[in-house]
Amino acid sequence: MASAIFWSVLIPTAVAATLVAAASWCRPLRKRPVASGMLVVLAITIAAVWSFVASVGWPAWPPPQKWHAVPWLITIIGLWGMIDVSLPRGEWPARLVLATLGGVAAGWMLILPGKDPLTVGVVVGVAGLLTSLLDTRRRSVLPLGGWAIAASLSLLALIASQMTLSLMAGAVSGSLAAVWLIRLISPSPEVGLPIGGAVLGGVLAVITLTAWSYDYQQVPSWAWLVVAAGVPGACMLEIGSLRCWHGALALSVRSLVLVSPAVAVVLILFEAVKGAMRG
Amino acid sequence: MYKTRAFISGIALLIGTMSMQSAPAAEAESWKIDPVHSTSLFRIHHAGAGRFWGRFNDVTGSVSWPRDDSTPPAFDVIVAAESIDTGSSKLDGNLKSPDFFNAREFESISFKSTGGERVKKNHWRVKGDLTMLGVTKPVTAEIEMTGVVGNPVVAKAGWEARFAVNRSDFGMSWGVDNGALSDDVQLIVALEGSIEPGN
Repeated sequence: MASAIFWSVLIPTAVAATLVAAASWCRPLRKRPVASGMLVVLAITIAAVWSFVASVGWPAWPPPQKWHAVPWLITIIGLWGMIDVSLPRGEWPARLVLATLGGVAAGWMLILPGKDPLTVGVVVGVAGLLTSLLDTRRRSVLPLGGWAIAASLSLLALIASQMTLSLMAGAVSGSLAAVWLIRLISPSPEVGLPIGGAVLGGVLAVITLTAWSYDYQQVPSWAWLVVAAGVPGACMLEIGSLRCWHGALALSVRSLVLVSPAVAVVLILFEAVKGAMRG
Repeated sequence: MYKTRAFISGIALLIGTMSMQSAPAAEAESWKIDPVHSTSLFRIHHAGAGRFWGRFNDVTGSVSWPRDDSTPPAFDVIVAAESIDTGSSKLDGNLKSPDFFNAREFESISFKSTGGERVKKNHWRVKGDLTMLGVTKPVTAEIEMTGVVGNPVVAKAGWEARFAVNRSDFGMSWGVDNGALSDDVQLIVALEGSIEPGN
């Protein structure tokens, strides 16, 4: 297992962190938010795909097993994320079109047991659209929340005996932690660079839906739902008067609200997590 | 008198020989596999250390075989992937997951004979197609016919098959590269088939 964690979590996280550090600290890139944002999208995409390939290898197309469509779909979502971060902030119709195309791709490519393609497409499309819109606000709660959600997802997948998806969520979690930390200590954090956009929501939705579909009721459905609701939950913080609330206290409260459900799920299922880790 | 007896004896011998030559081999009968008395065991090397055994509890199908053992048994066996049983529910969950047998997507593992050759009395080398995770590969199994009892109407017969596969050939590659679990898996499939009125 240590070898699997090394190749499928630590190495992809290190590669992602290097790309994010380059995007944050290289002066020419810092001056170009689009290029910087594309590198972050690339970092998250590479982390997820690398982790899968390190465990399973690159699958053929059409995939021999339905869940082997995951790295193909994440590559498409990565392209969606690249275009998404290059759009101006107010360009929401284009984001909607991209999300629709991303949803159609997900519904067509990811045929999961017990889940109809329409649901898969809508969930992936909406999740990607929400994180895309949230990313335009350039708040550091997004990578922090994404990190907590991905880490919880990794533990839930481990309880559900799905090692590859658990390691994959771990790699995404690690790369989002790197985004958050590197941006925190970045020489000019005020620049407000994109932090992943649609790729973050899309990738988390794909991993959640896939792990949930293959779960033999080892994880209660409510736990999957609570963790999956993290992204829409993040958007709740952007409505009404809450969106005008700025400063350190606002950031702390937003971060706490965003991270709490995922952490609560892990705490409630702590005994199962311990059992899965022993196994 | 002597010539007459010799002639009759000669005729009788000729008829006996002809009847022996023209005696048809027994026809293959269809034996329905009894899931209660059949099992499929597998053995795999864990972390380069111990070898652990697991089993599938739900084995069904049929065997086409003549009681005089004149032709190789033809197997059509189906094993339910969800019936995996290692004695540890945690390990069962791991093995049913997409990383291994992917039981949610591939409900069964099947073997269908394509031919065989006699090795010695009651022993056959049977070739067939093993389908697992949607991938079909040819395998060769060593078969021992372990016994047959009963009468023409109600009977039971048993076979034990031993063979090995490389699981990565079927797309089950988790843990192969890092040595967590060996690629080669040894299998023993013990079958009991029955013939009953209404089978």
